Amino acid sequence: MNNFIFETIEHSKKLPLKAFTTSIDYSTFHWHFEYEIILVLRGSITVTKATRSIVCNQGDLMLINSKTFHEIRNCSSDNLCALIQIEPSFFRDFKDPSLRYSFILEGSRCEDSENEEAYSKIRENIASIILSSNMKTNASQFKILSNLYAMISTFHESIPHDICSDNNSLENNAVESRLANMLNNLNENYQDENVLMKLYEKCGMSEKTIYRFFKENLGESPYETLNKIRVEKAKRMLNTSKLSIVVIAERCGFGTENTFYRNFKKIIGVTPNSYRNNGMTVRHNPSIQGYLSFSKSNATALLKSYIKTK
Amino acid sequence: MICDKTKRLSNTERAKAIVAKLSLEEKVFLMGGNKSVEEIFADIMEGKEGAHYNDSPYDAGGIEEANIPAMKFCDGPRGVVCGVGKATCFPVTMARGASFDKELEKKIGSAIGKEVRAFKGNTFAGVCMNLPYNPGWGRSQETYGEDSFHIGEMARELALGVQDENVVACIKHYAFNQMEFARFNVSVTCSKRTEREVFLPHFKKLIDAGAASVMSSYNKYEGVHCGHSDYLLNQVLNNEWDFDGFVMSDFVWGVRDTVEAANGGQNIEMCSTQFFGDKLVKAVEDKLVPESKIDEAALRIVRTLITFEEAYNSQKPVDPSIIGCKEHVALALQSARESLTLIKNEEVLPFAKDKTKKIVVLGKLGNKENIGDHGSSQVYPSYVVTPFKGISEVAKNAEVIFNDGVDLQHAKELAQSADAVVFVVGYNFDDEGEFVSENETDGYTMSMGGDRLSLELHDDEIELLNSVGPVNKNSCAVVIGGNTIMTESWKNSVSSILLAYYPGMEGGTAIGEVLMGKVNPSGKTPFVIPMKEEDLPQVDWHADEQFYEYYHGYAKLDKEHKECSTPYGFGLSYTTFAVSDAEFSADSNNINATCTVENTGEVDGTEVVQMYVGYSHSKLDRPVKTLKGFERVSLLAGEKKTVSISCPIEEIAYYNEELKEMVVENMEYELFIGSSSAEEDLIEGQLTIKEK
Repeated sequence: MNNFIFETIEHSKKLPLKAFTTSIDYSTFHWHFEYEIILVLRGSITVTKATRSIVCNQGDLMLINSKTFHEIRNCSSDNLCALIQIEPSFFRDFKDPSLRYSFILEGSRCEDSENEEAYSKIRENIASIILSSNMKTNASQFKILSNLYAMISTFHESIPHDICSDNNSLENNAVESRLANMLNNLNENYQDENVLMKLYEKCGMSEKTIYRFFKENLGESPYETLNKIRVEKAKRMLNTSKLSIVVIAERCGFGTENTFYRNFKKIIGVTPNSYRNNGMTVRHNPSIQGYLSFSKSNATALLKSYIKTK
Repeated sequence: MICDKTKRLSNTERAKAIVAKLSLEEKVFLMGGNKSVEEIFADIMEGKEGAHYNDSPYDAGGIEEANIPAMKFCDGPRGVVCGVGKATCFPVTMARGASFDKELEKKIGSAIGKEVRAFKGNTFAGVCMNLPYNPGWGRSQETYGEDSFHIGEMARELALGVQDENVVACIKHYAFNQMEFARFNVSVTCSKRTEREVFLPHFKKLIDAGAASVMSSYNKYEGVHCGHSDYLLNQVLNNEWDFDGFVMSDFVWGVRDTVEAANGGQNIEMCSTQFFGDKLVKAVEDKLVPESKIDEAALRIVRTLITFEEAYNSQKPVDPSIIGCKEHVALALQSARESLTLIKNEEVLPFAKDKTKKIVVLGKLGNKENIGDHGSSQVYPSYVVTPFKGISEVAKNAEVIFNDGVDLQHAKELAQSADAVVFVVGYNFDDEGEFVSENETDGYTMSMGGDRLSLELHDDEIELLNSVGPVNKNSCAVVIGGNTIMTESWKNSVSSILLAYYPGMEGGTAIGEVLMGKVNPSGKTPFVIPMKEEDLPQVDWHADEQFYEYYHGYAKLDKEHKECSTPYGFGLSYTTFAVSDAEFSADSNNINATCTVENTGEVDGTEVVQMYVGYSHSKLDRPVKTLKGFERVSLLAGEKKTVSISCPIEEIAYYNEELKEMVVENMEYELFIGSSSAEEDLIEGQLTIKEK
């Protein structure tokens, strides 16, 4: 399994979490065991989980529970997000570790809620964790942990949740690993114009079955998923190479230049040419997909605004 | 039963001799609880961690030098109240009532008796047998149902089981105690026929069966506190029913006046000596209470306690490891399995084992350890299996997700994504249960509870059922609560309904087993569920005076030709049963009914066959029919059995107000036998009775 589908998250030594700030450009559907909490510090992003898309604006919180397929894309290119990825063991029932909690904390829903007090506590915890993770002192390590525990306690106190038995984790993993395999296949063979037909054959499932499977789990058709992957590859080529549009269209498996134009415009909103001409030059972080560079001091200032007491 | 009435009476002379050697002060000492009110409150309020009401047995009397044991009181009824994290918590009495299983109730009584002894007690005051006039009574979970005959039959088995272990069974609350908010003040009145035919017969049945102790109630009957009532205690209980054991008062507020209580027939003031003790000694010296009253009380106490203590001491003592042991927990589970009552099933239950991969449990009560009220009946087991936990354990191949259902949109999404949806709705200790108002005391049991002013589910639960129920056809509403809960406002939104009462420490397991088809449900409603609350007798829950009509429950609906939502004695199974070949007869003592019951379905199951007697030929105002017998019959798929039910002819008597006695009418009676109280579930026959 490559890290396109299954994002490996390396925890810093001794800490059960990884925390950082980033601008998010686009990350195609993927999942991980870690719980991921996002605080939008600036701009906005769209998170698609299962079959629903949620726009998160500045100040919104978004929790992505363990093993949830999700896609994140930017709504404004200058977005800035605080991300914390937490070991799943922190979301187990204290008494009965076979039970896992999924908290329902979803962007825009935060605004109209009576839960504002809890949300502001969580924002402060996130800000503290990230600010502390820039330091490597003993104090900062404990501060990270204390904020992590405080945040999870607030989840239990104030955030609606599902409690899930792990009974059929085998069953569930079967769905997840099947989906992950299919996404892997598309990701590896997107250059092939007939990748979908070959996928149906390889899986021994009909087009209709796989269509339904994608719709149920990702909310989109295999064709839509494939196009997103192709457009994402094309973006990189547009940004980092001098290849002609025709060649890029072919290398990305679009078949014709027309199809490439149509799909690119539909997903990105501009033509490949104007994207190439006006687009940002992206410095890719090789270990984390789709996270863009940003100004650190700006992030620090935004984070500090969430710390109430000093 | 070793310590039956005959055995107790055989100790009369010995007991008299013991009492004769006691001073007045010593005799009076036997008549009061040894624990001060302050001590009890201190236990509850600021005592050691985990301490609670009746944490250990409460003693009354006891004079070691005279070889008189103390009465060591343990409360119930859903198990023994003592200890923390130890005692077996059975389903509440109402649930056990729904099992209609007399044999099992006796076993539960025996298990409880053993645990009482293991906690070093000798008296179990958990045979609660009040008849809820209106199901809103907050403590109705502590009794067996709405029918006097059924309450008596079940309570007798519990009492006999307890006494089999040489533990005194105390029946309560004598009498007319079925209003919680008003229990300290309300004065109940009713006609003599209502008294003798509806509210007292089950108490008499237990006295006839040999129950050795009675707890008087807080409320008044015809203006007199039941704990002081010459009529109820001296005249009816002692004289008419020839009771040989002792009466104790309900706690703290059960005795209000030294002289009235002692002369009224009160034997032990519980759980603290406030009006007895020195005050009673003084009252005797002042000739306000004859010393013969004290002698009688002391005799009753001593005779009963020496009989039970000697019997217990002659055997191997119960090992403390019996408390909450595997066998007792297994009984609690069996009881929960038998009590769950399926009242609606549109071919969704049991959930298909292989097709149910994802189950969503919705509702605030879905993951609550909800074993009943937090009053004097609270039991503290080592664990409680919640419905969510139980379903997860049983549905091993399914992912089970719990959500409290507050966010309706989220609940709908979960329901949509699931193969089966289980709603867990109903009540907890805040909604119903024992109640002590703030101005009565600083604390006592600290319980909220009280009566239910409405029999409906909470508004948010009705909304949950009605908005999320229709999303997924594979749905079941599991209803938690101590008595009738209205269903009409939501029942069409779900495909099945399972009544769970408060199913005890293993309740969640039993719920999971029934939903997944590991256990075939066999419980029957021990109450009627009406279409409208107004169809039941109305009660002013805060009244100072309350008149009880002759009719209540299914008898009232029958009489007034009102259609009900779910009949009394009703419960579905995963198989079908056919009742046929009904025959009715009478001999000089009994009415007998026999029939053939056949399991006509595909799976093994248990049917509760019920016998009712009808009174349409009576010249008096009598019910259409009343329950007079029941038997549980277990049948393999395709199996057929003959079932015989009989009851003593006196059971069909009415109270003749002129003769002041129970009289059997010479006339033709209807007899019914079948699977519920509904007309369509019964085979009718006729029988003429000519008394003597």
